[in-house]
Amino acid sequence: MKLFKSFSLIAVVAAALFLFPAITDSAGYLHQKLFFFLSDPPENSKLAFDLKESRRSGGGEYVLPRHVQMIIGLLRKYQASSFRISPEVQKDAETTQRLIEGGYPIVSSQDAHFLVHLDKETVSRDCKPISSMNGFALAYCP
Amino acid sequence: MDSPLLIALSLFIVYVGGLGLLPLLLLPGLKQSLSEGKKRPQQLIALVLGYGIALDYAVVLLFPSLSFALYAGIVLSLAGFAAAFFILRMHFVQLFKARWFVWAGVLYLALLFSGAILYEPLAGWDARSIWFFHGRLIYFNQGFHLSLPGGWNNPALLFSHVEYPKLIPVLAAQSAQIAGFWNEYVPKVSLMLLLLPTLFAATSFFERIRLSSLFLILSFYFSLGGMLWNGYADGFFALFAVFACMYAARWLKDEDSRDLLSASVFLSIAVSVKNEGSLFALLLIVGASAIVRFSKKTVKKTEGTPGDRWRYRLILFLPFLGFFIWTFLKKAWGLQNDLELGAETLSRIAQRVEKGQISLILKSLLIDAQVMRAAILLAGTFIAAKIMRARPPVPLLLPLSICLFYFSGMFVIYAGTPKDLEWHLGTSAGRTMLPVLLCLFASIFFLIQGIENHGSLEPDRQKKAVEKAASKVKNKRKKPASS
Repeated sequence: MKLFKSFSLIAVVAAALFLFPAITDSAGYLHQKLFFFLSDPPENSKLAFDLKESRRSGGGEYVLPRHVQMIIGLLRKYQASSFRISPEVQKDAETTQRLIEGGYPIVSSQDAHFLVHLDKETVSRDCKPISSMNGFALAYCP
Repeated sequence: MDSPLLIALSLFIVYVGGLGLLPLLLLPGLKQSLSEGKKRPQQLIALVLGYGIALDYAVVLLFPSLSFALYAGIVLSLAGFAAAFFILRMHFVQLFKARWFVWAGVLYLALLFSGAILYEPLAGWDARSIWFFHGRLIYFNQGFHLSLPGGWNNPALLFSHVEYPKLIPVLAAQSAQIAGFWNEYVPKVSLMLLLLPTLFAATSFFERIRLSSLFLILSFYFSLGGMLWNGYADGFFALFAVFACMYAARWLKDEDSRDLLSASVFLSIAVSVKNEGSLFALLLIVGASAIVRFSKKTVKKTEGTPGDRWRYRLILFLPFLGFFIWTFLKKAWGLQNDLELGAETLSRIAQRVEKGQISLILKSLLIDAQVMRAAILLAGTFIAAKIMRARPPVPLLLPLSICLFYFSGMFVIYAGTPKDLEWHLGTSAGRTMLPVLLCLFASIFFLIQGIENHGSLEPDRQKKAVEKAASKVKNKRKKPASS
């Protein structure tokens, strides 16, 4: 019975590891993160970069899409307090949400002078183009 | 290392520790239980940290400004430490007298998770669009009153499910406030803060290192994938909900008032992390009450005077203050859930039954979300325990019934969703089933403990046997003296 007891205990834990591969995957990933100094340069330098980024205000924004980073950067440069998103851009949920949450405290408002639109979209003649990237553009519409 | 994240985390731990101590010092018999060196001091640490988090949430919701709330909280926290040193004196040290493997395990796991939690920027969709966006709004507006026209009801924010509970956003905003700036790492200090009480709670379910403890740690902390470090709230909700269930199950057996209080504190955090917490809380309260009622169990009254009993009840309900304030604010501000639950839900369910989409829901929840795998593992462990006639140390009725009813509740929600069913299941089934998975893992854990204890006496029976043997020896010694 004692043998059966030991066998069944080990079998349950082994079965858990087999049925839920996330257990070993997560354990491996977390240990790799913890002992980053043992890993090869790409992973090693990525963590060193994140460590550096974590110490500054606004750090880590590299996770946002490139065009969103560009637009938010320009809005900050021009000290905008608000911006509006064109109906065509609003169809792209990722760009819209990343602009709204990533750009805050610059708020999304229908009365704003800064307009985020698609390159191919026709905008009012009064609008002055500021910059564009990956098919997205920023304009100032007084 | 001059890491603002580690500084913010350390200060935050001390802050919530002081806050949590304050109400617990009113607990009848705390000093006595500490002086007796009552087992599982790690449960008290989990309780102090958990209570502190729950109280901090209430304090932030009560005050209009984040800074003002933090200052008020700091005063309360300092009062907590001062009162603890004054009332408990040397007994305070007993809090930290957990066994070596508890400290080693908690420190190692905290360190292990800190790399991924603190040094990976917020990238997940829900993390950015919901939880930490709300934190950002609270931080930049220095409180809950948004400067946007329409406040939380501003149409530009509606994608963000503004009615969701705000515990994680509040902790995120406070982390940034303590650090002095916002970036994509600092708000994740809140996740480390939430992780700590659960680690102490986990170690309070085993007395030594065995395969059952290994199973508990592996299944609870590693099977969730990235859910504990990517900024999603689901992993933490599942952990707090299931520990509440485990404490409640142990309370039903041992009637230790500390277990009931721990269940209350962990449940209060679960309901303040995700909306599903309300369903879980309802099931836990109804389930535990039903077990007490139908097993004709008489719940032992708290020892002490009627005043002590009222104090205990107050301490039991106080952690839910934040949840009730947020529920009130939500109603007052007219923030509504997008699930459109009501009479129309029934017609949507009927339509989906007609279309034969029920099998799709079952497949997503049982197969894709891995519930079936956990059920198979439970069945295998149950058979092994039955063969050996091993009994789990805690009855499995509560975790298993909650698992079943919670699963049914989520099934109904999916069947009545106004959204596209395939999209809704595909984007959330794996996350919403985490409490079910962990309830099944908790049941397996208790069964493994039963198998391990098989052949050796259970702790309470062991205590009785030792007492019996001691009284026999005493009687034998008395006899020659009288003759």
